[in-house]
Amino acid sequence: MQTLELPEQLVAQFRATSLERLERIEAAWAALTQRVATSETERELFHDVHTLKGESRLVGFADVGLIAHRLEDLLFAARRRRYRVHEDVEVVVTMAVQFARMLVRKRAGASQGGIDLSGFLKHIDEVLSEWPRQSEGPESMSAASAARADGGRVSAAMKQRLGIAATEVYLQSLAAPGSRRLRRAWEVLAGELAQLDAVALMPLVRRHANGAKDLATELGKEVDIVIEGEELRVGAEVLDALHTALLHTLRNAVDHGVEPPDVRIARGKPRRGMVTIRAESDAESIRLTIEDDGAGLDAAGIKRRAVSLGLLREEQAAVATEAALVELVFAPGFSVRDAVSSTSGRGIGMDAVRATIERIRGTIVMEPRAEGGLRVVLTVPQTCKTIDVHRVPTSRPDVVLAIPTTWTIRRATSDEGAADALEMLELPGGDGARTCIAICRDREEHLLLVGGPISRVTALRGCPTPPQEPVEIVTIGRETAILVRPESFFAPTSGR
Amino acid sequence: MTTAPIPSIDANDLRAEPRIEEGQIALRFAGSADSRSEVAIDELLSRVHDEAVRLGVREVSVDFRDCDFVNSSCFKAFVVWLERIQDLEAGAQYKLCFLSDETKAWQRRSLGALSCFAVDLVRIEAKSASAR
Repeated sequence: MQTLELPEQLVAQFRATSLERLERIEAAWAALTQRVATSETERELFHDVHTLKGESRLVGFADVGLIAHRLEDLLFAARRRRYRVHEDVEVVVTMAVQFARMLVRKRAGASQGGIDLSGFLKHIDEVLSEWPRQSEGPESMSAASAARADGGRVSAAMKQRLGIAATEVYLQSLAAPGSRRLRRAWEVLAGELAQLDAVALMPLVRRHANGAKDLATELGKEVDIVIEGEELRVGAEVLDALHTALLHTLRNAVDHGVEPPDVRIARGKPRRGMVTIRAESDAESIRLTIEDDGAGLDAAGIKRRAVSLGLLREEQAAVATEAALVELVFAPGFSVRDAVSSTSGRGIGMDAVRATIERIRGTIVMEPRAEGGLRVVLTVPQTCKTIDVHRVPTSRPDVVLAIPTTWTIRRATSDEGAADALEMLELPGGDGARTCIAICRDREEHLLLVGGPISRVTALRGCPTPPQEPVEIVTIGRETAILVRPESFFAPTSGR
Repeated sequence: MTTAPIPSIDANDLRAEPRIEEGQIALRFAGSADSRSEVAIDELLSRVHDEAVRLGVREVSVDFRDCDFVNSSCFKAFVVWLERIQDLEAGAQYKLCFLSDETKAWQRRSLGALSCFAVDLVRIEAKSASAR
């Protein structure tokens, strides 16, 4: 298989300049948070992070690119607060720089076992989820922001104001359970808010299809790319994730999958390879299937590489199942190539793809096709503004609370001084049983009367309100719940 | 339990006490670690690492439960420590077990992020302060 290999010297130069860049980023961040930075320092910081993101993707360090992207998000959020950020945010930014440094230093093709890229991104997302998501600066033009700019979308601030209105309508509908008009008004508002955040998916698919065709030409391959499916709209963050996933998956299909024309003819295949991208949707999710008619999984190559990396012993490799081989393809740092390739990077691409898709709570499945070639199925939610919460029932079966898991909940030993959740929401009480819980974070603790068992779940944020708002309406599966932000819902406490 | 030949820290709102018990090293932090303690923590962790390698321990326990906060520059010292362990030959590597207070959100967040650097080397045991 023909590959475009980056000169070793170029990769070494990338490592050296990136490490210097990360040092500058760290120093500039420290200066900004200590209020001793100049505007030039700030400009250089954003330039360095943005350049790191771009260069790392260019030389195949997709994992570094992902960290740089999230670091950029953190910096934009911090800039909006004039760098007056909580100390634990400072820790996450510092650790993101360290994480990127560790990934830059890793040797090409070396095992990256033990590094949990997906988990680290999730930690950053947890920090970001507590900040309002507003449009980013012009320097950071993600797939979604580009799509939003094309369509002149409504600003995040406007969406939050609409979210406040929708929340009020929903609470009013609970206060007057018989009012069908209020319920209908809530449903209309919620539906419109969901649409405000949606962007078209197919232009992105077509753009990547064209990119894959260009790549095939560069590699001396002949490939037809067929796009099937309906015009779909997805949430902006889903679009960003699919941008990364499509980029790597299509590049892999063209670079690793489809064979050069002479090889295909020798194997009795049509001279031109075929890659199909199929887009489908159901009520809650989008499914993108990318199929190629190429060589399929290189079982021997995967086994050989797994043994050399110490991931499998010889005897394990000999009996490894197809499913096990597929799992190896997603292993951190795994590549069937020894050398760095400009096309599919260091072989970390599929690890980065899985991390990106799982971050938006999607799944990726790779499987050989019976007729030859490979099939990759990406299943993602239509929108992914999610938050991990404790689901807390109240004494009314139609009123459920959601409390962010950044707070811990335990059963209180006494209900003295406890607030009633429904009373605080100015809602009529119910007949259900009441128990008292303590909601805790650091030195803050609030007692609340609720009802029923508590469970940890993921809620969908369809009607975002600003972080200083005490409540917001979310959905848990098909159930509507009231997200309570304890820091603004309760009066401040002086600590335990 | 005997005190390890590693100096403790007791200054600037931070107390850190390394101890050795039956060939195992345990490190306990209390108070707050800010930039004033940065150099002391660097030095302490470096000494603990050298001692862990010398003794060939399989795990070092780090108790954060009485710790109110560790700032970013001090936390960086733990990342550096982890990298030094990763740089050891596989057979010489040891694990870090962090004891954390689950009611302190910063510990959950910071230690959770730290574990992502090397999930095979970091273990977190979360307990509430009242559970002790």
